[in-house]
Amino acid sequence: MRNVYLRQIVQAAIVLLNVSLVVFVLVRIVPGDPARLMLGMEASEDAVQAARVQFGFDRPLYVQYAQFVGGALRGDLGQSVRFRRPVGDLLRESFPATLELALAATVIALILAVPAGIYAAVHRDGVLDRLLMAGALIGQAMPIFWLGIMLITLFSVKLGWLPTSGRGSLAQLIMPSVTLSTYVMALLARLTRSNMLDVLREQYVRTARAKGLRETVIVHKHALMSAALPIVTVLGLQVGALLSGAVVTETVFNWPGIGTLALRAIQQRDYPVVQGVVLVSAALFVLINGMVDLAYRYLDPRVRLT
Amino acid sequence: MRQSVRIVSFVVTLLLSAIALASAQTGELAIAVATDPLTLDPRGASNVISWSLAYHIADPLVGKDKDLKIVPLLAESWDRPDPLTWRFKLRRGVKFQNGEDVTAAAVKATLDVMIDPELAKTKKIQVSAFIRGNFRTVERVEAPDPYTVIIKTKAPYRPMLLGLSQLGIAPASALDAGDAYVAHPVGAGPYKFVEYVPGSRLVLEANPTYWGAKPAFKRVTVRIIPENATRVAALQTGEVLAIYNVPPDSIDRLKANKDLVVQDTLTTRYNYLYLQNDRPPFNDKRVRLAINHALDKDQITRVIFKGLAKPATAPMGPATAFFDKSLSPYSYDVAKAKALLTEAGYPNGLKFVMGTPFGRFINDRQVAEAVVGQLAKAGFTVDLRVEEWGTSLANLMGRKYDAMFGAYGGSPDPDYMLSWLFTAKSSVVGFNKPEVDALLIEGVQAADDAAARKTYERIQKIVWDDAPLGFLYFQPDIVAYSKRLKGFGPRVDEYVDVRGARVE
Repeated sequence: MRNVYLRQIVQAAIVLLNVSLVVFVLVRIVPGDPARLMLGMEASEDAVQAARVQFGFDRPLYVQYAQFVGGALRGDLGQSVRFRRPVGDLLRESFPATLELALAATVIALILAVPAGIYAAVHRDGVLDRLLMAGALIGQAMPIFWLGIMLITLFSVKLGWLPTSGRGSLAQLIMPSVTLSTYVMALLARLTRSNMLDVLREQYVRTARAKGLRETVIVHKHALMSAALPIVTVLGLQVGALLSGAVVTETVFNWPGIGTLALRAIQQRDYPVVQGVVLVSAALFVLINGMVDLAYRYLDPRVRLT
Repeated sequence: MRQSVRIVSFVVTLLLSAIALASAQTGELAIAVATDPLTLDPRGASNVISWSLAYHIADPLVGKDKDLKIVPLLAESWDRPDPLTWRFKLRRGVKFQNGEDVTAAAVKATLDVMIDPELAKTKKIQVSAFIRGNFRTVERVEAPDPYTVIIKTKAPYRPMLLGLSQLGIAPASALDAGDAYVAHPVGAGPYKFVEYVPGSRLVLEANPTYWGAKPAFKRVTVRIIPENATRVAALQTGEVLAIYNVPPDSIDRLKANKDLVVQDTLTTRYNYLYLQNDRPPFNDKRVRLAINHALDKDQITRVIFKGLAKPATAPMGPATAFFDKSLSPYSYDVAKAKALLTEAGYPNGLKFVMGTPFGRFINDRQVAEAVVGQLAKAGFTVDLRVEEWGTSLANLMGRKYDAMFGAYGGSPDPDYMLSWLFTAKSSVVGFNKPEVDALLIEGVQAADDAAARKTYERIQKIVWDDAPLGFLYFQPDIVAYSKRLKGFGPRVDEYVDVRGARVE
């Protein structure tokens, strides 16, 4: 058992090291110069060069990379070129906003999608089943950018119920989290339905029925438990989708999370911030996947043995 | 179900009106802009949004009102004892927001770091090239007593006051504060810095010790909402009382709302195509003229800008000082453009590469695409490269493409823009005319405005006739705001400015 944990930790370290290298190279391959962007087009080449020296971008690439990784290991992600503040501080300020948004979106998706999926499976081919699944299909295909703007138009401009954007109150959380939740909601509903359908065909369900158990007990206890396994996996894998969906959602709703931060940093070629956001997001992704693995062990006794 | 919806909507409405009421009582103002400031350090601000927000925190020696007339701020008076000397008398008893006195030493420290690159480097201060450019002729700054500042220049420098109006004065301690000052800027302006959340908001608070008229609001929140639809919606719902960068396609909708005002003004900004004047095909003046005659400026201003932009009639924005009104736009004449191309040796047309930024200037991509279509009619085949600003800027500075769509604004005096674009040493379009180089120096050293006007009109005429750019249009600055907001409106220098605003 301890070996399993150890192996996971080593794997995670290798993944993160690779991520650090890829992001380091990628931000520098993209044309654009952080010093020039900061100083503007009228700045002389001398002034721009002086800024590059101050930021340390004049040093050989391997030195810059070593500084990045060395610093990251000590918990120091460097200094933002644009904001002149430690990247760690910027991340500490914006990560909670994104986590709040992603968590609310996940909860909304679970509350709505799982019961909908179960209902659709139990009442297979019924009118509501078809409506729900058609809705799920539309939800999956809908650009969330457009959905966000439609929500603002309806609930803020027309009805005047919710604030358009920003973060601070619960009312401001509603529209962004609903928007982001469509990212996973549709997928989750369809997945729950198809899994439940598979499970409901299993022999042990037939046995349970033969025993005379009530249908609700069969569906909610016996069937859902087995069907939950892939749902947890998919949810874990969707963390990546949620984080990337957060970029669009945060932009539309002016939500000050890492999506907004990353976008600004990329536009401004703020290398240390881009590196920090990507590295920490990757670490989060690895962590959640590890937790999914552990949840698996809990949900499925067969996995525990391997 | 219906009842619960009604209850929820009632509660929400109640809450929102309570919030609205509360904000009216405490004198809060919320406005929305489209982009983040690059920095709030007045010494480092290199674009309009940055220095106009910094302008609320840190008063310069002198200010400029909305017509660009110079008004006294921290300096109560000034004179010019000789062409090389500027002498300023500071207002007495003025304090910075951190309690330090506004003295000649603070002014000197702020200016020293602008004029001495070595000092800026040692103190690790990012200095704006744009603002530094205004002080390129300064030899030294003296502080003979706590309330007198003397600026000595190497050569006469006419636009000194406009230059100073763009530089907020920082306290003397800022010189050694490094990044801490950038994170929490302090000045002697009407509003104090409270917090800045990147991509979200800048919060300012009334400075109770401000030397001038008491600020009208206890708290000012500048929300940063890049998404056009969201920014417009925030105004429609009353969450903010004013928005900048109104997208032209939402003007009709906003005008239909009786509680809102939509206002526009032409500014110091103009939009054009950069052409590489020192290499083929645009080293041939006939080809540049062909471009100018092939551009249908009317169509762009009418269709894309709903008539709010105006065809360019000079190589600088109309609000710039010494703007020459007597020049006329290049006629839209496809036959003439074709004839010019044939004469230049391209009877079968000409192919070139053009870049454009995307999301940098109002409708930039639409304009570039319209330009490609218009030029095609005259025989140009344009390979258009649409890039985001970071890439586009690198390619502009690297002079990678034959042509590029772009704009210039923010400089109320013609010197800085013209010198950057049309001095051989710094021209990113390969413009090289010793005559213009000499005239630009003459203009900057001119003894008075009448002499300067004559010089700048000559420069404009030479540049205009030489067609070093594909001249397009004057871009408007459009703001929309609640009728309750008074003393507010667009400025010809594109400043975000609530210093004189109040709510009735």
